[in-house]
Amino acid sequence: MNHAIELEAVTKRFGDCLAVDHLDLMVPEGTIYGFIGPNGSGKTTTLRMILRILYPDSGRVTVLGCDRGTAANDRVGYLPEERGLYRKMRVRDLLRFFAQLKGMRRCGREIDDWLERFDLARWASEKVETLSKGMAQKVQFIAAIVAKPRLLVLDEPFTGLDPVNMDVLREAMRSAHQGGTTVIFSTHDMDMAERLCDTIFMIYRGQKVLDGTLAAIQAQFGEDTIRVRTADADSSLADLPGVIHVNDQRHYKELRIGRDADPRAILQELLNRTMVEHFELARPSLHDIFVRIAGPEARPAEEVPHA
Amino acid sequence: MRKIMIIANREYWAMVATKAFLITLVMMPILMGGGMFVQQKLLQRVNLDEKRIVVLDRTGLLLKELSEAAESRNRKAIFDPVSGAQIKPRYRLEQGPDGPVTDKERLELSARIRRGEIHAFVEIPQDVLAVSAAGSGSKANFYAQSTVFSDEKGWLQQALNDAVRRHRLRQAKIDPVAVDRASTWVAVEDRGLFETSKSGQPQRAGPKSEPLTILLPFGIMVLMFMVVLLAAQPMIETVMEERSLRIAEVLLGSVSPSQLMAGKLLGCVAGSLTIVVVYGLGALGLAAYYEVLNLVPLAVVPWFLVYQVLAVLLYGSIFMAVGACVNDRKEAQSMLIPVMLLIVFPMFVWLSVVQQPTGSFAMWMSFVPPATALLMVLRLAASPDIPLWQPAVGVLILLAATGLCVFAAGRIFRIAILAQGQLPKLKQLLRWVVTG
Repeated sequence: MNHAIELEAVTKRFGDCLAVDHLDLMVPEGTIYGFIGPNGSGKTTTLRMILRILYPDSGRVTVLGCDRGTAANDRVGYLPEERGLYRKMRVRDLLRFFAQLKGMRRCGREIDDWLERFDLARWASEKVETLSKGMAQKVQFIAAIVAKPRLLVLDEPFTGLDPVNMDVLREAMRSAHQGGTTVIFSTHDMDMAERLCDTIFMIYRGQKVLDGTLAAIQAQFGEDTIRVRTADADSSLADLPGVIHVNDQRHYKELRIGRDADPRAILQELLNRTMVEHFELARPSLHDIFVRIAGPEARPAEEVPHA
Repeated sequence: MRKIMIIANREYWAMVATKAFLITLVMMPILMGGGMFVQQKLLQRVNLDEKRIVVLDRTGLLLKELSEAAESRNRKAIFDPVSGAQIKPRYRLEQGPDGPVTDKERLELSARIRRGEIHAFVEIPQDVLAVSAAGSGSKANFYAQSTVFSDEKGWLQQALNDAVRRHRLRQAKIDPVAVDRASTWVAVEDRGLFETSKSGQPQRAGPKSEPLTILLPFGIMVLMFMVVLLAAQPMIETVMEERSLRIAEVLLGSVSPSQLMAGKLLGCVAGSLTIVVVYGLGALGLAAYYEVLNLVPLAVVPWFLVYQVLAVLLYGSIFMAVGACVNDRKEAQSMLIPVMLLIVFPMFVWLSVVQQPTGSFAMWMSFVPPATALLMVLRLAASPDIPLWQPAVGVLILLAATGLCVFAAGRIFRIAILAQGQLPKLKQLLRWVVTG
């Protein structure tokens, strides 16, 4: 299988801070790859190295077959985390400028199509400074995708969008993917990552901690989660035998159980206490996995802030 | 190269198609020319009220002659020769009290000055007519509220000395009229050097206009100064915008930092050439209108363009590096002070340079890179006798300095444009330049 991106033992340091630590990553062509990780864990640095905005201190970054220089950049679309548009430029001129920088010569039709699709056609001749935040974000997305890139890198593309625009953006990502574009996006929205990604990659403190399909990742953790809803919503379940952690999700509670715990014994104990409306043995959600890896529980005691 | 041109094209239009640029383009000469016009008008605006001066003439011989001199002045010298309108005040001299002057009288006269009844009073001592062997004559005392820039004092000094000289000559039995005739002033006029005419004959240049020989080169230097400021300074704004709005990150996802910087500098140079064309044509039009086109040193134009492009590249790259390091205008101001000092440095030495454009001071000063462009153009415009090797060496020096500056600014730009947070310290900037 061809890889759109290959990172081999990539390390990047900023002063004393080790941002990315011997990272290996293979992103197959034609996939939607989700980057997750807490703030400051090295996601954006990794994306910037893929874009050759930053260069690694050591290791090798190969993008679309090119392992040096910016030759591949014309085939890579990029939406940065913080939106960057010239405020005084008119929307169509701005999109033409970015498309031309990606090597497109005639792009008027594509620009108009995308503006139409994102319901921005009547803003084409307006200056960027007159757009709302959501509209500017859509313009920025068009700037990333208009030159028909083979690789689309999106750094937190859904931040600040309303649900309607989220759907529009997600649809655009899917259609680009169906057209053969490899899509990488970073997100803090675990539901979105679960729904959209073929493969999920998690980076924590500069190191890879997860990499694989959702099913494979969940399989690593086993069926150690019980989702339960009881008539007595306020009852504490932490003292049930074998329960390690209780996560209150308002409408139901998520119980993490130990390896040796017996779900049937837990159900029996619950029935003895209250009326059980829902009981489900499940794999942990991505959200739960994320918290297990990067939450306060996982951190060394000295780092956890005192309540 | 294509990407550099795309960036240059955007940069150019972002610079010239703004209201601020057009307004500055129009307003700068109006403000500068207008400033001079207003200053001239203010100087012409004088109080035309008659000025009364009380004369305490202890010789008893001079007041009559002084009064005659004042009358003569009032008849001739206070009117504009063309329009005939009065442009200076009349003077009227009055005789003061007789006898020795006491402090009480001086106080009284001072009070009259303060009340505005008289303008000044002057004490002429009795021994003023005596001829001192040592050559040091006695002094008259002039009292007024302000004697700095006083026309009255200057006139009185001249009239008094004329009157005293005539008395002394008569005492020495010499005819003052004969002395006046013998003292007729001989003027020394400035002339251009001889040159070879088109027919190969020696040809005398026309009489030179002294103010124009200095003002024209100065004007050409100021033109370059304005062009550099107008073209290079917007670099700070655009780079600051690209940095603070994170546009740089998108751009650097498509082009390398060197391509980005080259494109921006190229756009900046194109913008500066636009300003030169606008101002240059305007200046030539004015020169043609006032029929002084023959005085414009057209041979300087190619040098002007070469130096101007290099100066815009030099300062444009510095301004870009500043813009890449700062978060807002306030921070930019503090970093700009040393840069602005470099730019205005030629303004401190221009007069010495223009007075002796071929001298060694002028030559060495024009080899100091931050000032090379402005001073070399000033010298070339001031004198046609600058040896060709000097502007050529100047170009090489400036080329080297510009190359170095663009290289250093490029390294700072590359790192600072993506950095966030505090203003980098000088030590950090130097480290970026050295280590890249």
